[in-house]
Amino acid sequence: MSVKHALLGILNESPKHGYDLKRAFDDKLGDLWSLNVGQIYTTLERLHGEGLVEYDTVEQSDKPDKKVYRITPTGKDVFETWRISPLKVEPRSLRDELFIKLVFMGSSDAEPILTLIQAQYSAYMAQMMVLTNRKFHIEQEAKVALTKSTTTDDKHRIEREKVIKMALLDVAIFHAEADIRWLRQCEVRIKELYFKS
Amino acid sequence: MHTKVITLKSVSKTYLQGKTSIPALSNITLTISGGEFIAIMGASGSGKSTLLHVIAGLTNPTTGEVSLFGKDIHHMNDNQLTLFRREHVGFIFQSFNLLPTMTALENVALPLLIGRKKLRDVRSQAEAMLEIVDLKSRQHHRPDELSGGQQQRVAIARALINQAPLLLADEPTGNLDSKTGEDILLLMRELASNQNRTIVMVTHDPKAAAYADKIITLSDGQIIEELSPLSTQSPTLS
Ligand SMILES: Nc1ncnc2c1ncn2[C@@H]1O[C@H](COP(=O)(O)OP(=O)(O)OP(=O)(O)O)[C@@H](O)[C@H]1O
Ligand SMILES: [Mg+2]
Repeated sequence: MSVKHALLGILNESPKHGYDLKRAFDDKLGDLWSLNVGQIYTTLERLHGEGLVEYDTVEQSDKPDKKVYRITPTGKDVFETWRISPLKVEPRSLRDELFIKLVFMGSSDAEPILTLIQAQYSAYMAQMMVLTNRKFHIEQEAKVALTKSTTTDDKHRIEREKVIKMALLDVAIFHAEADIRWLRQCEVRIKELYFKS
Repeated sequence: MHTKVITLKSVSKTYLQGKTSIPALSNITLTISGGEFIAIMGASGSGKSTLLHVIAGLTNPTTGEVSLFGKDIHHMNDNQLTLFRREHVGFIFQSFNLLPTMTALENVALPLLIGRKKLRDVRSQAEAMLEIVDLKSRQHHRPDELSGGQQQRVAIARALINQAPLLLADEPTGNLDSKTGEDILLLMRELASNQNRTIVMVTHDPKAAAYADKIITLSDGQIIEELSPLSTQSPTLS
């Protein structure tokens, strides 16, 4: 995932110091992606080195000075180009760690790998339940917010924010589903291999 | 809040087919509480529909006990059972079971009509249910004039109309596109979370099952796994 572009995108909305950046990041993407403050500062340094962001130093009376970051015109260009470019397609499953374990599957006994597949299946399924539960809560929160909102602008903003959050959860759910289907398929193949009389 | 709605004790069901016996359920023990949303998964033929039918009292178990809301349903007579079911259970069948000569609206109103109410008295209620499943414009169509997914939605509306505290659903979203399916699942989740309705849903679709509080997996008529989300903290993908 591209921390670099996510931070550029947030700074493209308004200048922020490191901690505010983290808060904005958590608000937008935190459901699926946890990032520590350290990672944010390293990325900011890199962006600064590449001339994509610059900063003002703001003096504070009781605390150390803080840096308020803003996006440069080059940074804007890089972000805009990235935003509309399709991703490079990489063969995901070939890098899958579970696949590597499968490669080293013993030749005599199917049980350990079947146990592993079952445990992995349960983990993905449990994760899917957590993600789906988030979706339900986002749906409920939006419903409540909509009944309280008065202007069409407000309503549209609520719907738009819901759609973005849902899209993020959907992609994670669809990936988990693909993993689950793949595991089930592996299980069937392995059972056929070992238990076909 | 946490009343026991469904209790199964050592329930087995064996079908006799000529001289061969088919064990559809073996030794199922299970408790489901009020407001829980349970998904049942498992391969075709693993006993999911049989389990649902036994819970609803549509099939008697060969051995074991089933009680609903504290009542031992398999020792009620047919009349008592019918009355009890009408009041407590909404059922969405795998094959919809719509009456072919009735319109969508009449099919939805059916559970109330059996209770001797007149159609004109329940029409607005039935219309409201059809509205929920987005089918109001098809209310005068008969089942053979509806698509598979539309028939399924009529069956869902019919199961919801008597506001039964227990909803049993066999593949309720099997024929629906993903958006319509999601709307139905969100509705079921809402009924369980906000109205304390208990739901048991059979499904092959992991995405649908993920709406439940717990997933029970059957294999050859036995429970092989009961799965709940690991924790309530928000998930993180690295
Ligand atoms: N009325 C019946 N008479 C005889 N055998 C039956 C009967 N109903 C079900 N069975 C058998 O019991 C087993 C379990 O059937 P059940 O319908 O519960 O499976 P299921 O898990 O719902 O499958 P599916 O996902 O295909 O709907 C199967 O082997 C089936 O052939
Ligand atoms: Mg079935």
